[in-house]
Amino acid sequence: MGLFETLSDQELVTGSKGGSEQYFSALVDRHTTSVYRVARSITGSHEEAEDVVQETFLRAFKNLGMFDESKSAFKTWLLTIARNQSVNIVSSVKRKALIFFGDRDKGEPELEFSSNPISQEPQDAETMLSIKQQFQMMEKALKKLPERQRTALLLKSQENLSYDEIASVMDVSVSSVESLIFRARKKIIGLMER
Amino acid sequence: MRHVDYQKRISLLVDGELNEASAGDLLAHLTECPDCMRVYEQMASLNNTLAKVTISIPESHLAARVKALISGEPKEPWAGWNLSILKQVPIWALIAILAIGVGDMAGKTLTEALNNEEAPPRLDTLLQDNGESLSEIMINFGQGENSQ
Repeated sequence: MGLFETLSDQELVTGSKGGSEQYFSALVDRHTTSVYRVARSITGSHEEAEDVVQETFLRAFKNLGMFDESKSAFKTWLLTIARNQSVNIVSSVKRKALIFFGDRDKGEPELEFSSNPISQEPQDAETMLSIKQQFQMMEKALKKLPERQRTALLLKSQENLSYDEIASVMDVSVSSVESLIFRARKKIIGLMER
Repeated sequence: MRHVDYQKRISLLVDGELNEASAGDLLAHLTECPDCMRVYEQMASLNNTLAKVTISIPESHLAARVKALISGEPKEPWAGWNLSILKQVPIWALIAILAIGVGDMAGKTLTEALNNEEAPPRLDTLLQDNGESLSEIMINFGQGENSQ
């Protein structure tokens, strides 16, 4: 385990503010997947999600001096930037035009899930097939959710953020987060029961 | 309480966002209500499955690209400064400081303000003060024009 892996986000941020790129690189290694997942769940596009990841870290790096540790965790701040970037892309005129002319991400699946997301325990073929089907159904159900519901649900279940942190990332109240997650769950359960 | 209200609480329970007393009340209700128990099992199962799902990042060395991008990016000159002190200064104090600064520059040209020296008034450079009135100046000026 390297030196940087043992440091907390806060220690890495302090080091980065001191001018060390190595500290910030460790933050990039640590949070790239989370930023990508949030961007991908909102944009539905691999290429756009990659752009968002790059832009998010670039902005974070440039504005690190403005980040206030007493107000939020670094990850929450970073995901807030990522969500805003993603929403801007989704609502951009250029993107709408590309979708209108059917020229965006041809042939690309909207969401990808790892092929073997289950625990390392050995599974028999029938169980694996059942699990795979379950994941495919969930993937379809997730795609049918409105962006805000999907984002709130994934920030909870995948990034394990608290409702307070999700509210901060999405710039909504905690009660809105409760409502978004509840409706998302109800809708997915309803879709999977069909 | 209606079933839908219990179900909202179930969603909070599976996320660990319900306080201990409310969680106790809800669990007591679940033992008596098969419908709500079913919703609880569905939501817990969904949470469990979603936690296992990982959206995979295709091989793109994304983190490496981000780091390469940042290493070529100059930081803003104020990066690293603690600007939070500015947020603690009342806005009226900032306005007062700005007003004093602008007030000090009143009636000065930019050159004067920067060089901190007083330039002669522009009118004086055009018209020498010989003790003549404005009408006398204009008459003399017209005569000069006519004599050419």
